[in-house]
Amino acid sequence: MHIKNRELLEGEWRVVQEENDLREGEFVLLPLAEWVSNFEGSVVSPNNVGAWISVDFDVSDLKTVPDVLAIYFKEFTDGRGYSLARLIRDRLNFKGDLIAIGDILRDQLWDLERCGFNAFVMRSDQDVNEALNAFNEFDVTYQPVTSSLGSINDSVKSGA
Amino acid sequence: MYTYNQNDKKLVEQRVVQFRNQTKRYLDGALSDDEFRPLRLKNGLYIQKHAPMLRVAIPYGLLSSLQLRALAYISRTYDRGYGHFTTRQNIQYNWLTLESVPDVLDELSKVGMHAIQTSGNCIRNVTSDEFAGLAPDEVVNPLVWCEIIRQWSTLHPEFGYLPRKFKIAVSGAKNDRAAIKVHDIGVLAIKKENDTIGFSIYVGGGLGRTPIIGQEIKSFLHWSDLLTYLDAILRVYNRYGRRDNKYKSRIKILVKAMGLEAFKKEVETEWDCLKGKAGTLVGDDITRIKDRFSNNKFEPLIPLSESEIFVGKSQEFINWYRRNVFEHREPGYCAVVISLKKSKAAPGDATDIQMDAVANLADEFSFGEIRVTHSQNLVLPHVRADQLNEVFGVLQKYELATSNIGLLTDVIACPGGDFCSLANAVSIPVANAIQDRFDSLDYLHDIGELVLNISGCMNSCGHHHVGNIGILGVDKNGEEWYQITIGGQQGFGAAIGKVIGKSFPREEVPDVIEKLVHCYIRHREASDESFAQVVSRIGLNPFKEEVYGAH
Repeated sequence: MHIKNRELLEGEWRVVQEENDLREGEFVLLPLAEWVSNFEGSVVSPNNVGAWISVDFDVSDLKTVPDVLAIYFKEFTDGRGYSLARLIRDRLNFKGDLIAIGDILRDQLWDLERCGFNAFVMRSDQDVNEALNAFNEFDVTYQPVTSSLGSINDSVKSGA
Repeated sequence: MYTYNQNDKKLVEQRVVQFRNQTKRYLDGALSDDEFRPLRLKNGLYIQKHAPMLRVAIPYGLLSSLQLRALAYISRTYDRGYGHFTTRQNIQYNWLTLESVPDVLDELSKVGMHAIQTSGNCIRNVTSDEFAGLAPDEVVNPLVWCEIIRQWSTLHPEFGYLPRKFKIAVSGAKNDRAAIKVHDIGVLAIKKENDTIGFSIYVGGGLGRTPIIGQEIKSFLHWSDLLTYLDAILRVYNRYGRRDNKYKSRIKILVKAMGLEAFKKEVETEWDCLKGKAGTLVGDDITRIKDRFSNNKFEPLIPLSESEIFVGKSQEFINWYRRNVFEHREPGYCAVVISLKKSKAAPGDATDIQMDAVANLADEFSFGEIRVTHSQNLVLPHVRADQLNEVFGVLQKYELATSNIGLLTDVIACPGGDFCSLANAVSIPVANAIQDRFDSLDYLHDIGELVLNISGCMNSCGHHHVGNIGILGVDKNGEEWYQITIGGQQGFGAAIGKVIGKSFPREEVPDVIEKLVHCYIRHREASDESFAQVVSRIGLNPFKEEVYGAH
């Protein structure tokens, strides 16, 4: 299962890291370099095959962007992925699916979403049904939000 | 005072519900210790020696009488009848139970208060000048900008998991009372010749293990660009700040490692993409927030001279006036600093009864407003000069009239080893021993202004680096020892104190302080030459010789 646009969908996205990791099947996230060498130039990449990058990725290295891009969080306390997501949405104007995967927790989903992620793959020990509640805890924000449509919207102004 | 609107209120209430749920999931075992830790820290909750410690935000040190009464009520109902005001203008409760914390947060939210981001690796509660909006040397009132920064930083989605904590201070006066050069970011509100408001931005200052004075990264930032520029700095820090070593992860280390120019270049590149976009402030944003600050109706008064104020008053009152009463920009009004530094009490502690008394005084004499200072005292900011004696009488009754603001016994200290699990050594008993040694008020007044700071460990919560005399608790084979620094200073001339030599056991500390003071008095050339001025004129050596003997 994974969360996309605040809904629970079938499909277990997995990150291919090692040489021996299984690359067949659907919901596969290849290392970006591998994805580029396999699919660069093709009009459409295979269904449900995307690429992943780590939180310390330099956005200026992103020449070809897959339709599905994941940022892999090794540790939930490392907040670099939040800034990276904003750069990918706001600066590169990325309009595809941006997945947060790895060590991400239920209580981080709302912040991640506001930074531009629209899809989430929770750790297997997490209660993914309960996690959906995380999107509905606040009606108010003070900051502009990076939406998955790739542009910054004005926030709900506190005096409105 | 800033009064919450419906959305401000809703956000704080929803945060309480969220935290109640997080606490429940932790107690039910759905969240591990490691997973709950950043969540509780971001809500000001530490697990300490005896009980959890809750740090409640007092944004930029501004409190209403209603809020202070709520703080008193909480200390009486959920704690042991007192609270500890900190160097970051917050209040801490040391004796709560974990289970009661959501209820305490509920009580706080009823009066527009919270504990959001008072701890953890995120943007902390913004601090400011305790005399903001009333100081005669003020160029720009920083309060509106403080509130704008408070809102921007509250639950900021991008900066909730920074490499380390992040502190911002704002000032708008000719004298810096907010210590902007020892903060991760210091914001100085200024005016151009054509009256356009903007900011000088300082970056990379801080105390702790590696004390560094902040450097100017932007000399004039137009007010509309404040938040996008802060976003740019924070983004560079979030991406490139070190995460491998918690002692090297503050922004000051990044700025130092990159060099100011290279850091600035990164920030400018980032800002190029953010400038003028969402987050850019417009006039309406400012008006909307300005309108929610109370507009105190000062009466047109004829200013009183000192001799008029002193007519028929006691010497005690006169001493207190000279130390604890400060100028106000409105004629006939004064700012009264209430010392929380009486001898035999922990610096910064106030009982529930004292808090209620101050709240009542604020209602009667100060438009219901109170300030918390970074030197751990309280302020009644708008008192009529002809009502000072009445205020003084009430303060005396509640043991709140100690005439020592800015003097040696106005000790700034962290809670230290008595409460804090990080501390190497106790702070409060050391502060009390020094206060006892200098209990003669005449002598104390003769010594004059002398800022003394005590930290129980290198985390420097007592800001010992910038004390004219700084005392740092160190661990020597499991024993408590104290290292002494002199020559530190706050303000625009901020300086880091220098260590005078080997450290001392606790019982010798008052003797050492006394020797330093004797040395100062012998060398001063005029009675108004301060300790800090003498140290900078004659250097450390005479002080070292006084303490350790000639070599």
